[in-house]
Amino acid sequence: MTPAKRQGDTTPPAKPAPSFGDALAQEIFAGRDLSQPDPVDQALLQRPTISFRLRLILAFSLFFLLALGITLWSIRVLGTVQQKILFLEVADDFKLELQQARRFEKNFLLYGSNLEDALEHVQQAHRLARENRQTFLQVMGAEGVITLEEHLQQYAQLLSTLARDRSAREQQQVREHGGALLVAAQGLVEGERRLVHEMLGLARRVPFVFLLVLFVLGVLLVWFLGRQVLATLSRFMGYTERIAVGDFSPITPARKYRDEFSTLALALNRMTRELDRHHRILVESHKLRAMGNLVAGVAHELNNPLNNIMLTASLFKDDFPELDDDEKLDMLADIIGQSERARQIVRNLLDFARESETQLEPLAVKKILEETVQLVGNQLRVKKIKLEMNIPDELPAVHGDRQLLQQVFMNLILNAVDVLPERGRIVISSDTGKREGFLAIDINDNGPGIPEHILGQIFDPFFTTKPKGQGTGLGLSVSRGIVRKLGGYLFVESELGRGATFSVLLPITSVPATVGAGGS
Amino acid sequence: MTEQEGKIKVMVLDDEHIAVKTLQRVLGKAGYQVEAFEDPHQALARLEETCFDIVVTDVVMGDIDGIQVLNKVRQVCPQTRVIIITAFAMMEMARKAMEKGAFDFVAKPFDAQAIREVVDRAARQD
Amino acid sequence: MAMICLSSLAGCPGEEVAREAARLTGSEYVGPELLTAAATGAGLPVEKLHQALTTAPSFFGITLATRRRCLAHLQAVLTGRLLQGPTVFLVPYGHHLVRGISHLLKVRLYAPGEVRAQSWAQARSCSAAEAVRRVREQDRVRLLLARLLFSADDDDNDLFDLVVNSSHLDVEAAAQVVAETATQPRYRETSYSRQCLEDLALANRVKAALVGEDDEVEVTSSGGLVRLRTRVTGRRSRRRRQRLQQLAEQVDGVMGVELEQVDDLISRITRPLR
Repeated sequence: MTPAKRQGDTTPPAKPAPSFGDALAQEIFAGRDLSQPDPVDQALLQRPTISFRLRLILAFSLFFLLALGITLWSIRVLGTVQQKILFLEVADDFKLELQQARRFEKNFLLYGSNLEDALEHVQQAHRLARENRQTFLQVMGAEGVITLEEHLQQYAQLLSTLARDRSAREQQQVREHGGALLVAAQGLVEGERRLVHEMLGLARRVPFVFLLVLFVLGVLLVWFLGRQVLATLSRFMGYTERIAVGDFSPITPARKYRDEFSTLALALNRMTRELDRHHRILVESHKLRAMGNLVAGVAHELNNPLNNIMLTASLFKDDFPELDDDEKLDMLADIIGQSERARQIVRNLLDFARESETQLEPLAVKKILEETVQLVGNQLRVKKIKLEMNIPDELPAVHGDRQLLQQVFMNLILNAVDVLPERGRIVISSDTGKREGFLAIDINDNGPGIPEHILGQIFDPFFTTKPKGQGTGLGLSVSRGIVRKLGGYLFVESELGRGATFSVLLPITSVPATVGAGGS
Repeated sequence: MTEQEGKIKVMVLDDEHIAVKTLQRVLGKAGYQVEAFEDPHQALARLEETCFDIVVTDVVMGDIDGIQVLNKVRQVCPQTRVIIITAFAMMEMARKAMEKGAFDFVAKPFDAQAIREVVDRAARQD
Repeated sequence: MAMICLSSLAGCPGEEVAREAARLTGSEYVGPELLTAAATGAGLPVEKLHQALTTAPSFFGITLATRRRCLAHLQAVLTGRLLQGPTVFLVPYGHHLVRGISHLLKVRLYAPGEVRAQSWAQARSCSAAEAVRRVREQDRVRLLLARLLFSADDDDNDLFDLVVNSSHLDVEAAAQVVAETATQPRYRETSYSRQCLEDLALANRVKAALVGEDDEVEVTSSGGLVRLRTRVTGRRSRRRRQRLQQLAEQVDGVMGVELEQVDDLISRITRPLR
């Protein structure tokens, strides 16, 4: 190779390949582009707004209108009552004038005194009637007023006739008209007084009715709004419980309109997205940790082929002159074979370590389990642990991500290895009958089992029974998170002294046609 | 293989075929009389029959491990020097092996010269 | 012939036991001269190094980086010395500095606080109350620094192969116990442990060379191949990483250097929790 050529090789600016850590750091620090609204968020936003504030404002407006109505009505009633009282005064005056007129008329007839005074009083009454004609019309009706006016006119005429002609017939007529007039005036006053009393009575009852209506309306409103708030709250409580168990699917619109809770839903969606992102980072980080464990085992396993290579190669070098060609070829074949073996060991590890996007696809569980067992083979061998795999070849494919599932199985197997004494036993079996639509993978060990008082905590993050510095306490927490994310369940059964069984329930894929794609 | 009196008898036990083959050759060339085994059960049976001067054994070999072989050797031929070789070397394992009376504890991988030196050292300490 | 690491609590006759055990096993006792050599390596006066290992962390006190630098040099000097032959050593935190060597017997010399305070008072002819105070203060600082520098509980007996209560034994008897234990087959040198010690010594030499550049760098080595784990991240980190690599390659005995950049979320999260 010439120097020029070498230079040519290196001149293009070497772009550093994004390493594991770099990608992780980018994921952590760069975050997701939050300016792009999520489709679910958009669905939440693209609804008409009927906020609780609006609903409360509407309710208060209703109350206000009701109160306003009642007040206006009361003012009107009071106004009417006032008018009636004023009219009553007029009617009283009217009646008084007429009574005076009758008194003078009687005096005239008895003592022959001045009749002018009577006439004057009648005219006065007439003037009152004329001045308050409008009110009179309202109270008595047109007919009544006309009759009254006719009576008045006739009475006045009769009085003036009476001054000249004091015949008995005339006297009789004057007395009749005067009596009728007085009765009419009396009736007017009585009627008006009764009306006023009725109205005042009504005005006294109305506030009570109004209060009752207000109360019933208030109760209804509180019940209605309360029910809406409580129903929404319990819906959100459901969401938080869902999030707590690791289901990070976003909240979708449940109503046709938007309110304050929609903002909360948006905030929650943002939170779950962040949680999801951190969960992914956590899973990735935990994988690195798990790899640390694996690497120790794998490094040891590598020592065997390396030892073979080293021995054979050193022998090859030392004995080179004495070896015949066949022997040399044999030794080289050994070296190549052992290198291949070493490469295979490393490749398994790298396969597991490779960072990749979560890819949900139909998977053949058996193959994944076999690869996992291969990876942890050393840890098993060093502790002489017997691993039985009772998995039939024909299993329904499950829905999941190859690497994530491998991580889960590895966590569970390595946990079992950690608790098992030498020559312990691990049995991996499958069961399709545990739950409809799910394939259960049971990983059973005959170790010491899990005491009941910690059984509830083992899936909690940072809970660990391992000595300080040996476990992160995240393995089971992360595993459960992964399984929940894949739509499955992870639980444990244990009897003290008899070992423990971890069951991974994975959803069986409903599209069997594409099984082959994921399997290999 | 010709039996020769006066040669130091060495047993090599490892479940790795190539390791056994190569060790046999390396030690054989160094003047030892080597018997090689890949199955620890056969090796244990052979130990019942005869005493070796030196036993070189792997640790992790299926259901029987090198420490058991070491115990057996100490039991039947206390003067035999046992060299433990392992791919899974750890501090505690080394201490345990030495406590049980091993002559040396060697971590894989090693080259021909290294193992030859260890066996030579064991052979000299008669 | 034995390799013994002695850790003596304040007020225990550490040096006397170490000297006697060295005599009994035919090994050499090393102590203060290691501190001097480490101080020279770190480019600091020996008093400063002594302070770095014995004073509690405070705001205006010695920085963590300086303490790490002192430790790295002490570690390098110590493991270098161990390679030369059977040694009984007594240096602060020695049991944290050398790990994973199967032929190194780690001994903790222990005695109840009152007993230690008494002997402290006698040795330094100070008042009893003063002695109690000094012994207590030294215990506190020891635990604090062990947590800070090694994330370890220094009173954890799992750190040791043997714990000797010096209040029940005189110096000769204690040294006898230590010497007898150290000469058991269990603590005999093996090819493997020798190799581990050589690897450790090389790693420590490299660490001492790098500690000025990055005091948190982790160094492991295996047969001349050195692996660096650094948390140096961010801008301008590339040049610093290159510098680390160069410095490591210049160390005697280094045949290759691998550099790994660590960015681990879990350790970052859990570090404050521990």
